[in-house]
Amino acid sequence: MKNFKYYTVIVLILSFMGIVFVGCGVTTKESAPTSTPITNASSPETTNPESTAPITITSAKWRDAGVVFRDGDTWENNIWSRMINEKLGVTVEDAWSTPDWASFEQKLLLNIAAGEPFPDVVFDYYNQGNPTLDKLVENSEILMPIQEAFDKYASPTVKKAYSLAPKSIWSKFTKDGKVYGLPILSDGIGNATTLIVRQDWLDAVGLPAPKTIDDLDKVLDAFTNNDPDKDGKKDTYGINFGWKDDFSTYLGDTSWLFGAYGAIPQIWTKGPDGKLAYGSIQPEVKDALVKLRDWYSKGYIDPQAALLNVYEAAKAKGFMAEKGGIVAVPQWGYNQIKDLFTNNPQAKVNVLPIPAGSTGKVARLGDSGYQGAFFFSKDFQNMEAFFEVFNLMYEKENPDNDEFKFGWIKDADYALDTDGNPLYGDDMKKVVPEGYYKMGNFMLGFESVPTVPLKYFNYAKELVGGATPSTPDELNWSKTNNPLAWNIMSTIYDQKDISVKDEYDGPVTKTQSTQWDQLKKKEHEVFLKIIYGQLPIEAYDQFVTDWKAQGGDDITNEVNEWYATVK
Amino acid sequence: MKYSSKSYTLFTIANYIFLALLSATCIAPLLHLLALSLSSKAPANANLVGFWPVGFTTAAYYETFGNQNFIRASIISLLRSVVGPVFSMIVTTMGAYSLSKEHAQFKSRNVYMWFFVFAMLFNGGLIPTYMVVRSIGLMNSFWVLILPIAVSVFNMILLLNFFRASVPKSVEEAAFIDGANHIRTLFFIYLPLAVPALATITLFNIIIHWNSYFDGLIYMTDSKNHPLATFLLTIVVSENANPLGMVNNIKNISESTLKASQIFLSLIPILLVYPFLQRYFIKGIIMGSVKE
Amino acid sequence: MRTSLVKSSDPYNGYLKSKLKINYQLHFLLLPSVVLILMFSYAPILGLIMAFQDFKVSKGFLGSPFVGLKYFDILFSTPDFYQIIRNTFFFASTEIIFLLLFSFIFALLLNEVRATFFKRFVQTFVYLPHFLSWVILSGIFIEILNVDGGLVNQFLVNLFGMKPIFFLGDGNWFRFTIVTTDVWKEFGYSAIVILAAISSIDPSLYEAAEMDGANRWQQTLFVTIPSLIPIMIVVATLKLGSVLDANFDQIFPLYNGLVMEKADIIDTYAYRMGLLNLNFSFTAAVGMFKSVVSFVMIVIGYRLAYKLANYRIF
Repeated sequence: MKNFKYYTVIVLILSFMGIVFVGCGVTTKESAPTSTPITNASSPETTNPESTAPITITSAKWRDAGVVFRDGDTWENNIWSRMINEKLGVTVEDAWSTPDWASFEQKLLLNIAAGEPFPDVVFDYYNQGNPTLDKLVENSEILMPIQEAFDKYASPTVKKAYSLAPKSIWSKFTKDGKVYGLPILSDGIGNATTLIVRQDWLDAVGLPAPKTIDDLDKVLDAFTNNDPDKDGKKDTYGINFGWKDDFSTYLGDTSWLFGAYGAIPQIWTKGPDGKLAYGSIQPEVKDALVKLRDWYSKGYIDPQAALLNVYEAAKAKGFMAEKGGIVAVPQWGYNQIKDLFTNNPQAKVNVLPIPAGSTGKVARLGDSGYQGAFFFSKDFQNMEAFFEVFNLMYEKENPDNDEFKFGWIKDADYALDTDGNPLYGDDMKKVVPEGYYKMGNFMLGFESVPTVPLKYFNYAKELVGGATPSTPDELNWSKTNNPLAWNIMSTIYDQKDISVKDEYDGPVTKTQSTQWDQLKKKEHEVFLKIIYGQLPIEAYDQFVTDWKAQGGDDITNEVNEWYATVK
Repeated sequence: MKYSSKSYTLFTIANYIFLALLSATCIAPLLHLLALSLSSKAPANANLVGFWPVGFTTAAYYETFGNQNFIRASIISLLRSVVGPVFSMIVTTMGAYSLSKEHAQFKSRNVYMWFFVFAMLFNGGLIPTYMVVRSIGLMNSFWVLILPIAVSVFNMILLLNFFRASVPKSVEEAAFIDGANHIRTLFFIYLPLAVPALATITLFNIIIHWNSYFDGLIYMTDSKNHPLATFLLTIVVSENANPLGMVNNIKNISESTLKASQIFLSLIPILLVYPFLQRYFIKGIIMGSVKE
Repeated sequence: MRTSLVKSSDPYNGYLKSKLKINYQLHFLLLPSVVLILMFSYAPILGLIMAFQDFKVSKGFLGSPFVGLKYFDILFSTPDFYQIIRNTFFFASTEIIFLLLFSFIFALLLNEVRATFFKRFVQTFVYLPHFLSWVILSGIFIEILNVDGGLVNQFLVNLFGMKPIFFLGDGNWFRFTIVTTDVWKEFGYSAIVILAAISSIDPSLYEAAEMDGANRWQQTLFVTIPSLIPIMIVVATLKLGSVLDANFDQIFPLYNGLVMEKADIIDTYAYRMGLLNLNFSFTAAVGMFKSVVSFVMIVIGYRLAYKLANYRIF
C-alpha cells in the first residue's frame, strides 16, 4: 500500500495550506490599513495653519542606500529633521519611498494615475532630458503654481541666489504663463567637462601637456604606441570615450572635440540669424568626425568605445582601469576615478584645459543651470512652512546671520577646538571621534544643500591659486574636497565662457514625439559608422539631407516657435 | 549488459567530457562573481578581478547581513516561496485537471481554455494592474506577493499535457467505475502519476517567488514588508545612482562587489532546491509504485 | 492488477451517477483560477483602452480624450518599422528554435548519464546562468568578446590564425553573438521540462523495447524521442506566443550605434520612445500590437499541431 504515503502527504499539505491561509488572513487584516494614515496625517494640521501646532509636510523620496547615518539616525529621524522640527515645528514625512531613482519616478507617475493624492512636496532630478519633469508639468492640474509663494515667502538670501542663475531655469516649468516647479540651482557649471591626463604617462613618453588638438595628436600617438605604462605590452589607448548613448555627455564626453571645430552636436544653439539650429547638422561636425575617424584608424581610441556607457569609459573599462591616458570629466569627476590611486599608488593625474582647434575655437557642452525641481500638490496648505525650511537651507549663505557661520550643527559637520576655532573634515577627529558627518543627503530628497551658483568654483580657484581659506565655509570646503578636485573645478571655471548650453528647454514638440527617436538613432548610427570607417565620410552629407526631410525641418520650426515665446 | 557496445562506450566518454565542459562554462561567471564579491572596492571598480579575489574582504557580505531588515526580509521571502508555490500548485492542478478532460466529456472546456490563453497573451500593463491591486486593497498585504502571480497559464498548459501523457485512460475509467469522483481521481490518481511534472512546476514557482522584486517594490509602501529580492535592491550602493553623480558621502563598498555578494546570497536557495527536487525526476519510481 | 473492480455491486449505475456529477465538479475545480485570472488579468486588460486615448495620468481612463488609432498610426508609420519587426522576428524565432533544439539534445545526452552524482551536478550547474541578469553577463561578454585582445579573439587569432572578429560591432556577428549567448544562458533552464517529460515516460516501454532486443541507441530513437514529441510541440507552440518578445534585457545592454540596423527590436524602440516623452498610450499600443500578433501565432500553432501531428496542445 505505497499509495497510502501519498494520501498522507496530500492531507498534510492541505492542512498546512489551511493553517497558512487562516494565519495570513488574520495578519493581512491587521497590516492592510497601516498604509493609509500616512497620507491622512497632514490633514488635521493643515486646516489651521494659523496655530503654532506642529506642521507636517508629506513628501516622497528616493532613499539612497549609500547615505551613511550616524548615532542611530534614520531617514525618519535624523540630525537635520530634528533641527527643522525644533526651529520651525515642521516635520517632513514620506508618504512612500523607494530605494532607487528609476522606481521612484515610476511610482510617482503610477500613484498619480491611480488617483492617489500627490504628496505635498516632491523633488525630482533633471537628468539628460529626463521626461518625468515634462510629464509632471504636463499634468499641471494636480500641481500648485509657485511664483506667488516664491515672491511672498522666499527670503532675500534665496532670491539673491536665484537672481544669479540664468532666467531660463524657469522656462522648463512654465506652462500657460504659470510656473509649476521650483528649480533647484545647480552649482553654476554642472556637468561641463574638462580633460584629465595621466601625468606619469606624459612624463614616461617625454611630452608636455597638450594645449591644442594638434598637440593632442602627438600625445595620443605616444600613449598608444610608446608604451606609456612601461609594461612592455601594447595595451593602452590614447583617450577614452563612452559612445553607447550620446556624444555630448559628461564623463567620457566628446563635445569638446566637436567644439574645437565649432559646433556641439545634439543640442540646439542660436545661429547667426537669431534662430535656434540643431548642432549635429552643422557642417563643422563633419570636420570633427574626420578627426575622430583618423584617431580611430590610428588606434588611439578603444574599439569598445561604441559599447561603453559614460561611466564604463571613465571607470571600470577605461581611464580608471588604466586603459587610456586622457578622459573628459565634469567637476564631480574626481570621486569617480579616485580608486585609480588606490590600485596604482604611482599614478599621477593632471588637469588639462579644453584644447583649442586649429582655428583657435574652444567649446564644450554647458549646463542648464538647475539640477532638478520641487513640485507641490495643488492641495498643499503650508507653502509658508515649506519656504521656512527652504529659507533655512540657504541661511548659511546669509552674511547677516552668524548662527551658521561655522556650519550647520556643531560636532556634526564642524567641530570647535579649545580656542573656539572651527575644525572640518578629518581634522574634526581630534574632537569628535566619528569625524565629519555630511549633512544634506537626507533632507527633502536631493543630495546636497542648495547653494549659490559658482560659490564653490570660486573657492576652488582661490585654493588652486595658493590662497589660504578666508572664511570658515571655504575652510570647510577645502577640508572636505581633494586638491585634484579643486584643480578640476578651477580649470572648468577658468573656461566657463566656452560652455555652450542647449537653448531648447521646452517640452517634446509635436513632430519630435513621433520622429525624434528615429532621427537620433540614425544620427548616432551614421556618426559611429563614419568614425569606425564602416561608412565613407560623404555619408554625413546624406544624413543631413535625410534629417531635414524626415521631420528635422519641421522640428526646427517648432523649436523656434517655442523660442519666440520665451525670448 | 546490452549497453556496453564499443561505440556506446566511446560515446559515453565523449558525452561525459562534453557535459563537464559545458558545466564549466556555466559556472565560470559564477566563480568570477564570487571572487568579485570577496574583493575590495578599488580593484573591483577598476575591473581587475578575475577568478581570484583581489584584496580579500567580506565587507560586502557584512553590509548585507548587518542590515537590521535582512532577517525580516528573508523570512518574508521564505514564506512567499513556500506559500506561493503551494497555493499556485493547488489552484493550477485543479484547473489543469478539468482542462485535461476531452471536449466530449466536458463541454465548456474549450471556452475555459481560450479564456486562459487570451489572458496569457494580453496584459493591461503596469498602470491598470497597479490600480486593480490598489482598489482590491492588497497594497502592503502579504497576499499581493501571492495572488497576482498564482495562476500561470503556461504552467497550467504544461500540466494538463503531462496529465494526458502520464495517466492512462484505463486507470481513470477503472477509478470511475469504482465510484470515485473527480476530486478523488485528481488527488489519488492524477497527482501521484504526475510527480515529475509537479516537481518541475514547483521548481518554477519557487524560483519565481524567490527572485521577484518588482511586486515588493511597487506594492509595498513600507520597506518592512519587502521580500529579500526587493530588500537586496534597496541596499545597493549605487555609485552612479545620483543623476548628477555628486556622491561624496558614500560607504566604502563598491557597487559591483555588493551586487556580486547579493547574487550569491540569492543563489544559495536555488542551488539547494533543485538537487532536492531532482529526487522526483528519477524515472521509474512513480509508475512502479502505482503498478503494484 | 486492481481487484477492487469487483467490489461495486452495480458498477454501471455508479458510473452513470458520477457522470452526472462531472460538470459541477469540473467547474468547481476551475473556479479559483477563473476568479484570479478575472481579477489580475482581465480587469487590467480593460486598461488597454488607453491605447486609443491620449492618456493623461492626472485624468485617468475616464477623463482622457479618445484619439482612435493615432498611436497605432504612429507605430506603423515609423520609418524603420519593418526593419524593427524583421529584427524582432529574427531574434525571437532563432532563439526559440536553437534553444529548443539544444536543450532537447542536452536532455537526451544527460539521460544517457548513469552516474547520478555527475548527472545532478551537471543539471544544477547548467541551469545557473539563467539566474544571472544580462546586466551582469553583458559586462562579462563585452570583456571576453573584445575585438582587441578579448579571450575569444585571442583564441581565434593564436590557434586558427584568423583575423579578430568584432563580435558586438558588426551587425551579423552581433546577431550570432546574441543568439549563441542566449542559448547558452537558457538551455539548462529550458531543459528542465524536457527532463521531467523523460522521467514521465512509462518504463514498461523500455522494458518492452529491451525484450525486443533494442540496444541503447534504438531505445532512445524509438522510445524516448517519440514520447517527447508531444511536450516539444506544446513548448514550441507556447513559445510561438513570444515571437515579438525578443530578449530586451539581453539586447539593450549590448546593442550600439554600429549594429542598429540589425539589432533594433520593438522593445528597444518602445523603450527609447518612452525615454523621449513617457507616452503611456504609445506603450499600450505597442503592447497590444504584440499581443495580437502573439495570439494569431498561437492560434496558427495550435491549428498546425492539430493538423500535422493530430495533437491538441490545450
